[in-house]
Amino acid sequence: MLHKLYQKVILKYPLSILILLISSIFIFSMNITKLEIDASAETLLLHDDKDLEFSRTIAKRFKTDDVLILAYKPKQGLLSEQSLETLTHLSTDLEKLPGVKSVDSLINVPLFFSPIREIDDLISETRTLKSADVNLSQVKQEFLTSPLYKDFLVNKDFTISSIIIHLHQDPEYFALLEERNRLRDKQAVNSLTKEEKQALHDVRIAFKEHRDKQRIFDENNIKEIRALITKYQNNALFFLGGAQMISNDIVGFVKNDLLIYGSTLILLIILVLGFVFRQPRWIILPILICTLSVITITSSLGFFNWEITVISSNFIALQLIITISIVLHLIVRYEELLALYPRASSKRLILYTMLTKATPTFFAILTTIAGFSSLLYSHIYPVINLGWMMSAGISMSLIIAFIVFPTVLMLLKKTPPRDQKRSLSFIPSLTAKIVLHDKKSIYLITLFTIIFSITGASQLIVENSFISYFKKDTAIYQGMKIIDQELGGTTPLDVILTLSEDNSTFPHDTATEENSEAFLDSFEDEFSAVEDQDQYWFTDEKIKLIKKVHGYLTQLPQIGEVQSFATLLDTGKILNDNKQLDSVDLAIIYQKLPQKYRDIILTPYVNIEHDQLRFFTRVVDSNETLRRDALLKKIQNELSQSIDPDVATVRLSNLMVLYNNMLQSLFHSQITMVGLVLFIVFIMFLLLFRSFKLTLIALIVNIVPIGMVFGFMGWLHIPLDIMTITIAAIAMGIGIDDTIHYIHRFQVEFEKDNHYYLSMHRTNNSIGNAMYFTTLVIVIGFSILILSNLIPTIYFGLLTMLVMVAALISDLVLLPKLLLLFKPFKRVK
Amino acid sequence: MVKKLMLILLLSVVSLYAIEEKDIKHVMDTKVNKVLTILKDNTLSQHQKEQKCIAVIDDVFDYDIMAQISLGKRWRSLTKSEKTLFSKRFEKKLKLSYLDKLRLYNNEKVILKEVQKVKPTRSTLETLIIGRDDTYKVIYMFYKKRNTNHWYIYDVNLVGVSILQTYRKQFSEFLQTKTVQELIESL
Repeated sequence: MLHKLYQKVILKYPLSILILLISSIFIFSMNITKLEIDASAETLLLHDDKDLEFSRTIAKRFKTDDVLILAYKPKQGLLSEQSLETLTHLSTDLEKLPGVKSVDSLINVPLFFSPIREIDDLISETRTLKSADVNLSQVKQEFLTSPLYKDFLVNKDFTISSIIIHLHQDPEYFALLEERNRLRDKQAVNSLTKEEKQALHDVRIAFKEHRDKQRIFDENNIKEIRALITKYQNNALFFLGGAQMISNDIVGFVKNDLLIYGSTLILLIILVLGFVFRQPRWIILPILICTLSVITITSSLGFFNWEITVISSNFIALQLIITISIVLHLIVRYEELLALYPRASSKRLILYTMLTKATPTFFAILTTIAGFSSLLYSHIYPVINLGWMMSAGISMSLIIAFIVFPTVLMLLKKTPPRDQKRSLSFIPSLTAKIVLHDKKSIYLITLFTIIFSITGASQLIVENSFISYFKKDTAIYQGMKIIDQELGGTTPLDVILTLSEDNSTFPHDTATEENSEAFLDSFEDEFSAVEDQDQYWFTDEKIKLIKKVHGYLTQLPQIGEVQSFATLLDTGKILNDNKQLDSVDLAIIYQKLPQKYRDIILTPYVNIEHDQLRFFTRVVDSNETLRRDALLKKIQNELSQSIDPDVATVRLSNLMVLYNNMLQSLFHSQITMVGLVLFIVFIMFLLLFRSFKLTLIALIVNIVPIGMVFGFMGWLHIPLDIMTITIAAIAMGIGIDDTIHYIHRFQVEFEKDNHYYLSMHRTNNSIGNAMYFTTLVIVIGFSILILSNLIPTIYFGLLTMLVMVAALISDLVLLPKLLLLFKPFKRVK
Repeated sequence: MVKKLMLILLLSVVSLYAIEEKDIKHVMDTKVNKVLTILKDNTLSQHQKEQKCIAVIDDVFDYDIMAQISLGKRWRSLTKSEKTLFSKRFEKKLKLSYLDKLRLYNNEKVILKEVQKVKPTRSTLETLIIGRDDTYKVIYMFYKKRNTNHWYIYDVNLVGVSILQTYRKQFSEFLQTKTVQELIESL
């Protein structure tokens, strides 16, 4: 069928087919403009995570704000006239920005101990640095020692202070999200009515539109803040931090990398292709096919509204690798046939090239798709997305390559065969010699690699620290580090205590008293009627509990800032002559406290209606001893053990928990995924080769380079995270392609003379060259990624290079050695 | 603010023993002034002031009934000795927690309003403490002891906070996970 298709259509009307294909790709490419990059925290979360729902409820219940933190390091002292003046102007300017709700800094936070006054005086008149007659040394002392401000508003050395920028909340976002999720959940359980289906469709569009609008708004907001900062840079150093800023910067870096490194990579590939093949057609053709494939897939992403995330930003690079591999195999095969049959017609050569490469390429692509489809089991939206993108992308590459390659060649004039003695292609024949003459070292090296892989893989850690995404010399790294280490940490973590309901039941006794039961009951009724009023909520038991949890969290070295109701109790104690405020004091303060103060000091930490307490902390991301999962488990276990479940239950919440869930899921799914890929590939090998022996050999040859990647990651302490997870899939994709091509060719060569040694030589010198050139092109091309500012991109580049080389060596050395050893092919007479 | 409010409890530390309904306001008025005089007397040490006030405080409140109310229905499950011990400790705690607020007195004025009869066995007396910047409302809760005509204070409400209710809530939470013996210990 393929034969007919090529003869009667593709090779018969090459120009028309080519024009048709290219023009339809270009028409479709209009959708490229719809392509979007989304690096928001939302994309990094598990999509069926129960903790996500809980975190959203908590954020709503405790009315938490989104904040950006701006570290301010003036050239003069923090409290010098000039520094305060700069701060005043900057704060005023910041507050004028449409995205900014309010700004808190040294100049407007309330002063409680400068000097110490009575609580009611504090409520009636709030003193700040702007108040007349403030004593600056008293103020400095307060900032350095106050439980409210120390190590968070100012650093220990009193050289840097935080400017906390509260951003406007976006209630519409959550309203739309909730509505969408509600309908989606309903859809999952039972079918929706016609109206509901329409509603779901509408809300999906509305949500996306709103989010896109908001994203641009947020991006502009950060741009405006940065522009403002530059205005004041003569007087001070500024560092901007906060979750929103991190995602904004990652998007910036990803876009930048896509553009600069993407184009440089193409240039490098052109250079290497020119160097290897020395013919313009073998440069133009691969680049044309790669470009058309990338345009098609990116247009499809735009068309289907699939967004590129931090994780899937690698997909173009991945697609390039696989497309180049397809094309180089075709070129090498064509050249080989040309050298063998220099007088054959161009059409026959092309037809034979396409037909002989169709089966192995098709199977190679199929197994690669199987490899990538394992990503669908990860539960992480962008990883799943990458799985789909790659499966679709490489299918398109296959089709495009198998149409463009023959049609373009048909249109070009046949060139005479080139001299095969290229200085560059000595490697495959060298490896053939090694395989032949080496007795033990291949096995020894393989054994060593396996030991290296196992010991390395056992040291693999799963961490995802945003700070380590950036190079140490970037401004963003330095800023994040200062905020992280000096001003209270980065990733927010909430500890939520839900108090148990009063379940005490008192036995009724019949003892006679001077006061009869009825008499006491009349008091009982009187008091029971009002006992649930909010002011009575602050009991000594709760205070003790709050202080205990707060104290526990404060002593953890990986935790920076801790804010809770205990912070206010400590402040109250200082104001109360160092005597603890008791429940009567607190009830009275609560009664007298105006609502605006309740919103500031109580609402974020205490929810009386739901009997919940919130302890807000920030985790020090740069702490080297930080092991996220272990820390969260430790906090959960130790608090659960020390708090009677009849009193309260503990649950952790906020970004830290969600990221960790994602990482853990990633780690566990990585194991499942690798297992699954191996199983799928095993079945596919079995179908393709119809030999159990051959299948096992092929599998071993692929396991070694994958194991080596994990070994390297373990030994070099490169954490397994959202970026590096794709490496296993790449390793599979590339390794398996090479293996299939090699074995397929070996089989063809073996059928000629039933001679293993000679077959190996011929295979290495033909297909070996294609594999070697592919590796050479990719390795040199990808070396440019090492210059990226984004560490994950550097790792991606390095590990890809490593995988390519390891897979090549495994396929050119270990595979023939095993073929020679086990002799899996049947002799053909 | 808190400390000032606590003061009013001390201002009411006057002998109200066997006070009759019609005399509530009059007796309170006189005694409050008496206590204010003690507090304003600069010849007395803080300790002496406290002692003088404490001398009369015992007769003002009905600590027994307060102790019972503070434990709610749980009271009935206590043994006789536990009840005695608890009442004693609770009384001491109440006194202690108010006494240390004494020295905060700063010439506040106290105005007594009319006595309100809420029920045949309950009356309230509203007072206003007028300080430099603020005025606070404090309500004394009286009850009539059974079979007598004598009225006692069983609770004080400071700006909407019942002192006894805060203790009730606290004890009820404490007893959720701990025993009465432990509660007595903690007092």
